[in-house]
Amino acid sequence: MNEFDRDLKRMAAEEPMEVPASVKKRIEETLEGLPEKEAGRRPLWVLSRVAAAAACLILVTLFLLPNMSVAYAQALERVPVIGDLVRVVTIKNYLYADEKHEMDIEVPKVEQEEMFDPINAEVEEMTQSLVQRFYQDLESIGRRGHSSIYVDYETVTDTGSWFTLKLQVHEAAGSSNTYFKYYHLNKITGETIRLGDLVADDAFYEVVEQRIKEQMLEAEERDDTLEYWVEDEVFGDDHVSIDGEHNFYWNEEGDLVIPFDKYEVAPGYMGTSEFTVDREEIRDYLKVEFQDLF
Amino acid sequence: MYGLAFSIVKNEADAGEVLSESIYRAYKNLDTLKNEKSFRPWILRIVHNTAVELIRKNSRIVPVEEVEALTTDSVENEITTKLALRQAVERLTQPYRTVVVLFYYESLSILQIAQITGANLAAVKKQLSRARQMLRDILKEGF
Repeated sequence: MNEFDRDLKRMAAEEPMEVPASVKKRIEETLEGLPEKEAGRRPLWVLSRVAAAAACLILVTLFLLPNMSVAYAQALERVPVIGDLVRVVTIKNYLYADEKHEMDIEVPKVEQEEMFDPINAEVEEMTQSLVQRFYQDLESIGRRGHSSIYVDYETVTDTGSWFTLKLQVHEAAGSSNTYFKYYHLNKITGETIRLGDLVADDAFYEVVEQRIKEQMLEAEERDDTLEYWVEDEVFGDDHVSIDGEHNFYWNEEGDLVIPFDKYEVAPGYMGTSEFTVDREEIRDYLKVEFQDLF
Repeated sequence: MYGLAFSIVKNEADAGEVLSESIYRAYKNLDTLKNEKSFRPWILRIVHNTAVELIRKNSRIVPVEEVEALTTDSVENEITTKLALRQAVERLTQPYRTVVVLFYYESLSILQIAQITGANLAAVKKQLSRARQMLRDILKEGF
């Protein structure tokens, strides 16, 4: 380092760096608005007290109970991407709005045979936890910041052998995050399926990860405005990490699609992303019963 | 963090927004930080990317090639200045402003700066070299 650099570093160190009050305030609001980690969740008794107190601020709260309005339920049916064999309706819609906080959570239900009960139960559990979290955040943030949560759903696949329901969650508190949850049912056996249930050989995960990384690098090469956290010295190279619990679905061609939540494999401006892995590349690593499902 | 954000967006309100967004992103992605020692470049990279995103979103991007005619052949080691360094830095254009903030204020290495800004090592060295020259001139000139 030359003398000039040393002088400038000394000047920089001695120079007072005052963060403006407006920025400090903004940072404090963001810190206060950060969603709590699971370990820090409040007990349910706090939740119920808060929910009761918050009730006076509620402008709209609507619960659409099952069969309360057949016409409305039919209007809320979602047309699946593939097939139309299963009827999915909105059975509850949790709404809340005040000047600083918003919630709109649609709870779907598959109105079919008992084999769908596990999916309905999982969806109910997840949406309930999101409603609880919203009210917890409402209490902790209060009027110091903004928060919102929107939950929507879509039937992605519905064939004679397979059913996939997608839940999309968009949360915002200081900034925003979007993530998905996919629920699968093997209609032949009546079993709910996670990615790990398809796999016969763990090499499957390496192949899928490798194909995704290749696609990321190719995309970056084609368009320098795109950025994925792959082969990155600072951010590491294990963001593309697929395990048996990772989200997935089959597209219309029968290829495997791996969706990623916002921030999972790329900076926020990239939003959510998904990559398709050709079925033939993974076929040999799948259990026999899934090799020719589509 | 504020210095870096401000050096890119050049106004207080946007710098506040960048910091707010960066804190949230860092919080959400803290699990991805592989090594605690890398925290500073890690968080600064988030700030840098967030600020660049904001500029892109607002279509207020300053072309990298846009450089004020501030270079000169005269080089002296002694700095006789009427200005605060910060004022001189604010007169620089991009990418020199960001490089200067990261090198002089954040005391990061050229390698770390390259990782944060996404430029290659040679480019950062060249940017820093030109930025030095510009700073010499601005500081001597005293506006």
